[in-house]
Amino acid sequence: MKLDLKTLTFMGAALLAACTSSAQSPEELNDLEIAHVAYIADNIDIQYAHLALALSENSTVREFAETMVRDHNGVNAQALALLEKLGAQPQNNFLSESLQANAKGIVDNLTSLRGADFDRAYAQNELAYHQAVNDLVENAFIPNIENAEVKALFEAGLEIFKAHEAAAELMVAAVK
Amino acid sequence: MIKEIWSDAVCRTLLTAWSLTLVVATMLVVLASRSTYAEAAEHVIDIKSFVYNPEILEIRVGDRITWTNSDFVSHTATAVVVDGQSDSVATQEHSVWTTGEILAGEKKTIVATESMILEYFCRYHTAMKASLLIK
Repeated sequence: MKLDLKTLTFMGAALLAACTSSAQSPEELNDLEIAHVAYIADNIDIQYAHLALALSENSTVREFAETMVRDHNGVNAQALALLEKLGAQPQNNFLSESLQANAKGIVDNLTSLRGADFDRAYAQNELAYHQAVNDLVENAFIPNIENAEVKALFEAGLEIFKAHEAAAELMVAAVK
Repeated sequence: MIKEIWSDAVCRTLLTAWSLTLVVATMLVVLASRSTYAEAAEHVIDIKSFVYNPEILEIRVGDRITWTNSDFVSHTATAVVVDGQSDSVATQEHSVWTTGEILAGEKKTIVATESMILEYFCRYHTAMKASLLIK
């Protein structure tokens, strides 16, 4: 059975929801694990954006994707600089791994699409992805981050990702 | 007759002196206004949390406007070209300008011109909008 994008996104959200009821919940991650999740989440969206730049001819989609590459690389650079300053390394964890596993399925699905089908799927995924990540950052991460500088970085990052979410909404409407 | 010639000479001299005085005075007024015009002001617009601050800035032609980027990501300040205007029309009737990419922590400056487009936005984050107001 070929998984469609909606099913994959639901699976990802269900996985995240299920994780909150186990001992390994997003709220229980330490600062370095949270930093790792953020780095992986940024890289996943950069990967989606490169796919869009390779496969889409829609100017709205391409401009959005270029912004994703630019912005997520910028946030990653700030995060890595902070970790270097703190003398710390991000730590891999269950949530980073589940995000990567989920992303693989979405990439497989997106690469099978072309034209308007791809544009719609990419736009919908970007909106769903940013909504899910923003909820995670705002409600699970920021309240539990201990280091003040790391918290400030995530608060600034959340502003950026909320702007992305708003732009994704416009993109979804534009490619309908 | 001598009296008449002298009177005529005096009149001519006075008129010439008056004309010269008028010309010099006019030149002095023009120079004074030019020196005032040349005192261009410096303005700073800070980009923070995806907002241009101030969102409306009063300027004069010749002023220097500097955008500082206090965000983690790149922005631009780019003139808004109204849909339907061709590039050639926009170029002829207005000044289409842009700062280009302003990297995080960096700044870019432009000089205000008489016919510049006053509405601008961020090329990368199109919801970010602001405007200039020429006095």
